[in-house]
Amino acid sequence: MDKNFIIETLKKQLTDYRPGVETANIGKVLRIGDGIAAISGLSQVMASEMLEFITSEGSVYGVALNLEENQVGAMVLGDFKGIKEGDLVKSTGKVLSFPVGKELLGRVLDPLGNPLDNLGPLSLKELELYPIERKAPGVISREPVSTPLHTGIKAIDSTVPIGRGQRELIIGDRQLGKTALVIDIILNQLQDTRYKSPICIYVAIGQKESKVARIVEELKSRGAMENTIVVLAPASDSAPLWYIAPFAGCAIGEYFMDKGQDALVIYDDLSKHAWAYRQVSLLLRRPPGREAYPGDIFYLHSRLLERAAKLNKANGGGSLTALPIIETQLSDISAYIPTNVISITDGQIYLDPELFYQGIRPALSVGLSVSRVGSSAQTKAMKKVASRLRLELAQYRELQAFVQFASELDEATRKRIDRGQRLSEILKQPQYSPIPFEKQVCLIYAGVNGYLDQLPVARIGEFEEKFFQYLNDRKEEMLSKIRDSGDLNEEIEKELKSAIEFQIHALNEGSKN
Amino acid sequence: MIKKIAPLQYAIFLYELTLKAVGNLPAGRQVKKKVNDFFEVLVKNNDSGKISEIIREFEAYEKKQRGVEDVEIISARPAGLALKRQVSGLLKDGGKSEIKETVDPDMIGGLTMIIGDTMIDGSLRRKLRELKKVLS
Repeated sequence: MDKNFIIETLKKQLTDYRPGVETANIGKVLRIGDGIAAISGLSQVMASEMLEFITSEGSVYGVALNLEENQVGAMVLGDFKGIKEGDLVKSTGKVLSFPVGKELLGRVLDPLGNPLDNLGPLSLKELELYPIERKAPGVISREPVSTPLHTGIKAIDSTVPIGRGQRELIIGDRQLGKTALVIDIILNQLQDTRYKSPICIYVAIGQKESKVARIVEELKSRGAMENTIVVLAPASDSAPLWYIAPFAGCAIGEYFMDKGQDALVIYDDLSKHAWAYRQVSLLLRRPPGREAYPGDIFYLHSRLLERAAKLNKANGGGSLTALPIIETQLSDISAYIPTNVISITDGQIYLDPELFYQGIRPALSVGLSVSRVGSSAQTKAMKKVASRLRLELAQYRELQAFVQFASELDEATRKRIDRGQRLSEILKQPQYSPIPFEKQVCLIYAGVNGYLDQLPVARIGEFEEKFFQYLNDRKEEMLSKIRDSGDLNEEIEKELKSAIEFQIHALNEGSKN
Repeated sequence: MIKKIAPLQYAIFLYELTLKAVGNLPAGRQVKKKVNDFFEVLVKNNDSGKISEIIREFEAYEKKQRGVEDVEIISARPAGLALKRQVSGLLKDGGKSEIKETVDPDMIGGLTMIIGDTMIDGSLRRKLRELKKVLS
């Protein structure tokens, strides 16, 4: 290589280099333990400013949380074992931020922005730094939720629709398929072609690393990882990292929202996040309140979830949808954290253990789940069929206690129970198989209009499979019409009716032979 | 209930106590009497456990009142007399501050000063680290 070329490149790189002295506000570590440090000095430090702990093994970062008369309480982000009493602490003058950009797509990161996969380091030059704590968009820059976010899950899209910019809580006991539900939602985003696919951000807080590895593998094998970013604070990480993980995920979502795109962020789960914040607060000697959570636990979650928004055209028209997950103990949704988050969000999806053990999966309880803003975002076609579905299911629930005495009931009641059983049956759905909304509309149309009453409950699953196959093979045009218009006009309805009748006839014929 | 008194408040109290004369005792007895009185108050308030913290706060407060700051200079090699004189000339405290010296060979070169809780880092180590950042 040419000698002069090397010299020229070096010169170019060095034009910005101006060595000088650096002035910093410093302090000394008084006490350290459990990821929390007490520091003397630091008279100029700001609240939630980043601090640099200078140890014999290199620098570790932390955040100043408690500014007291004589000392500063800080949490250490990362390994605090190398920090000793008397170590120097430097203030940085910056608040904690996270590198964001398009480059993050498909990556798995820790809450500080370091990659955890084997895909090499991030090139920081192409990334922007976003503060992890930021004020939520104001009233002026917002707009009502109006675009649907199709989840591909029949029970959700029909009864508790989610709109872009909404905050919908997913709540239930452990092992009821909360994570399975959100993974299906991520998988559906690429196949929902009517609207631009949102960027999905999955934030795992205190999860087992094996579980997250399985999720990432699943997303990769189904091609959904290219649209997804995973922020991981595994169970082995310290509480401060669990605490900042959802804020980091939210910062990534805000970046895409600011760019006018749609983003979907999933916090899995916020009960563990509340535990982490409780631990940090108690170690900082903040006074405990109910269930030993600190007094500002409500504000912690409300400021996080308030950052989900639908921006108006003047602000780029982007959106950030939030799906927080809460794990309950013994289905107790009246505990402190569940009630808090229920009141913050725009609705909840409640997973019922009883339904789960009855074999209704997803175990979504239609009675206890609500969506307060999503119905205005539902497509016309879905609205037409879903309003009747909800009504029929509500009537069925009232009569469910009498199912055992079905033979002694009057005709009308028996019919209602029959219809309810079939409608519950069509809402069943296996994992990893999200269904596009136009197909959902066709199936629910068949259900609420009584076509399925001719079939025994046990054969509903078979009907669904064959019906979808038939629609794929023969009625592609009709499906695309529903998809593009989002409506069921008379012409489509007629075609749909004949398709359903044909399929039921074929099924009945098949069973006779 | 008696309000909790912080070590700093005790230190300020002790400092102000030493400024006033009590009765017409000679100077040596004065201090002894005041310290005894102060201890009595501490014991009465059940705060005798805070004594080491109070001493630390007192020292810092007394220095602050005199306008003296803790100054530390850190260099790679032992600082010569000329350097020390130069540093104390820079400080506008009339030569009252005590200068503490530390040798840290890892600094490679240059000089770092710590005045109170402000650090002025002019070490070669930091400059090289910045150079590395620019070149990477």
